[in-house]
Amino acid sequence: MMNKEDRKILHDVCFSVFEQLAFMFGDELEDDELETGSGFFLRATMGFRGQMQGSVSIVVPETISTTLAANILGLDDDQEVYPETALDALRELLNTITGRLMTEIFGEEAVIDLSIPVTEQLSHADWESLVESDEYLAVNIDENPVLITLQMQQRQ
Amino acid sequence: MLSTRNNTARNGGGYTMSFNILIVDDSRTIRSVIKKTLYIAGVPLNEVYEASNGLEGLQCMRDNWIDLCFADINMPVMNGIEMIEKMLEDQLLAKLPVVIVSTEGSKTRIEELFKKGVRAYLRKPITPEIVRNVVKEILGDYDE
Repeated sequence: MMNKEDRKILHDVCFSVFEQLAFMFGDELEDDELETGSGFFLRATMGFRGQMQGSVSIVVPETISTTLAANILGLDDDQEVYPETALDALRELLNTITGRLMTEIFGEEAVIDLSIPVTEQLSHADWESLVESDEYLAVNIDENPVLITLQMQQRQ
Repeated sequence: MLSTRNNTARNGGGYTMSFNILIVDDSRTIRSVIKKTLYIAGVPLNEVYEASNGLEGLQCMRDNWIDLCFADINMPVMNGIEMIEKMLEDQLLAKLPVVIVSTEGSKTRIEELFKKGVRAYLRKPITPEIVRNVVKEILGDYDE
């Protein structure tokens, strides 16, 4: 489970990157806002390896990934966002969050190797399980619930 | 590899210099963002080539005249650092200016990149103003 300090850093970096990269704004999340309708979710994950090793994951409702891609690319409302574009945008968002996170946690002198982000589709049941797990930080991004987590351990 | 043809920039009745730019990044989204940022920054573009990893980037440099390369570090197949090392081994590519665009924040790694001849380092997300300044610094002033 993340400690309080890491949760605070993750929270601040997440809000900052959503705002700077996608012009989407974060807010605190009320418990009832974690309940979403049907639909599926997307999870992006990437690993890191330096003085510590671990991974960072973000889970979003599929609908927000489309908005995310449109905002990053500066698309007009009538321009279609293809599913692969939405996945790519989510991977790039996570890449940027993780890069910032590494500097905030380990400092500017540390050398950290990052893996290539990967994405997967999650069901509503998977989402509910993650919400209950307490391993994820839940935030509100433009009225959408978003889960993000940092898992870290001593390098083996 | 993809390329985008643009009209040569005009200045009054004559033509101004326009540049061939290569963008090497595994994210199509980021390649699009960099391309759009170059347009917004007013950089006069002739061709914008795209490659999704270092290997494709090297091939594009060998097949085309490139004035400036924007490259990511963390890519599959061949990463940005390996690509720069291969460029240094090639007489024709060794002096091609490279700007790294990455989420990398390690001063140690950034210093290593500068030692390998990288001309500038931009941390994502980038802005048109930063891109404009970097292009002008490396390729010289241009009329907007």
